Order: sequence, then C-alpha cells, then structure tokens
Amino acid sequence: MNFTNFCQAEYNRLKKIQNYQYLLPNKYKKVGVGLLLISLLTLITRKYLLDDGELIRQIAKKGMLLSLLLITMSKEKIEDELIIKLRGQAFAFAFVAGVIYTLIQPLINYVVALVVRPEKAVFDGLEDFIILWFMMVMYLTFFYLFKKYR
Amino acid sequence: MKNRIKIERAILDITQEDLANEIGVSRQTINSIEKKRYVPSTVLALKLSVVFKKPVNDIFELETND
Repeated sequence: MNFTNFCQAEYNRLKKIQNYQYLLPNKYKKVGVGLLLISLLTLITRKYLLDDGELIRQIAKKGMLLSLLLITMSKEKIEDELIIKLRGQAFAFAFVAGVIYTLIQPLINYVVALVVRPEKAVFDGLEDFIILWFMMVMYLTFFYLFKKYR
Repeated sequence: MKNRIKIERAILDITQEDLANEIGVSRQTINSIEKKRYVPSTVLALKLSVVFKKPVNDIFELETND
C-alpha cells in the first residue's frame, strides 16, 4: 500500500466513524428515566434503612450514571437537523461547564472547609462520579433549554 | 436571512405541521425557520423548494448583514 492509498483508507475510516449513527432509539429514554428512578430510590432507601451498604451505594451510583447516559444518548421523537445542532451546542456547553466545575469546585470546597473546620481542610480533587453526573445533568439542562427556546 | 415560507404556506394553504411532515422535520423547526431563528441546511432548503415548486432563491433572500 503506497502513501496515497494509506491516507485514503484512513480518511474513509474516519468518515465511517464520523457518519456512525451513535444515538439510541427514542424508547431508550424511558428506560433511562426508569433506571434513574430505581437508582435514586435505592440510594435514598439505603441511606435511611441500611446501616452499611457500600456495595449497594456503588451499584446505585453506577446505575444513575448509566441511566443519565441512556437519556443523553437517546434520539428525540423527531431527530431533525435543528435538534442535531442543538445537541452539539449542548454538548459543547456541558463540556466547558464540566471543566470549569472540575477546576473551581475543589477550591470552593477547600475555602469553605477552611472557614467552617480549618483543622480538617484538605485540598483534593472531585470524585469521578460527581464530574460525570454534573456534565450529563448540565448537558440535559442545556439541551432542554435550547429545545424550549429554539 | 429573510424567507417567504409563511407566505408560500399561505399560498398552498398548509399548516406548519403539514409542511414539517412533508419534509421530515418537526413543527418547531419550521417555526424557527419562519421566525428567522434558524437558517436551514441546503438539503432542507431544496426540500422546501420542491414542496413550494419554486427555486431556493425565491424562498430565501440574503440580508445585508449575512
């Protein structure tokens, strides 16, 4: 394979990825909402009824992330070019908001801890669950706001 | 970009919903185009031109700030 053919093959592969329909059918949105409710109920129940249940808590948190991903990745009833544009804008906003949040929130936590309990103030990063949860919630918020005021 | 979609719809006596179904988009998308909040793609503009049986230039018109 010469260089030109190699470049063409790489270009074709890239186009295939670019045109790949990665969104799930609309019905998965309901599945996502159902799973989200189950995860939330599990988390609340564990908090008030179980003394120890770290495994349940971890599973419920993963379930919550998965449910948000299902809602995020499900098509609208009519997925037209305007919706695709709004989806892209919402992803961009959520990404930027996620990065800013990840940078600023530990600082805020640290300053608040310094004021409230200075002896326990530690500057550390955010949990991966919080970052992913925040980004997906931000995406959904932006997307539905954009959709409402399109 | 100015457009004559509302006028063309009135000529054909069709609703936003009818037009949206005809070209495979949502009613809200037609509303956004009519209100000049969204500029459609070439594909959508050509679909509109087929429905209205008029060239794209007769439906859409550039404004000075475009």
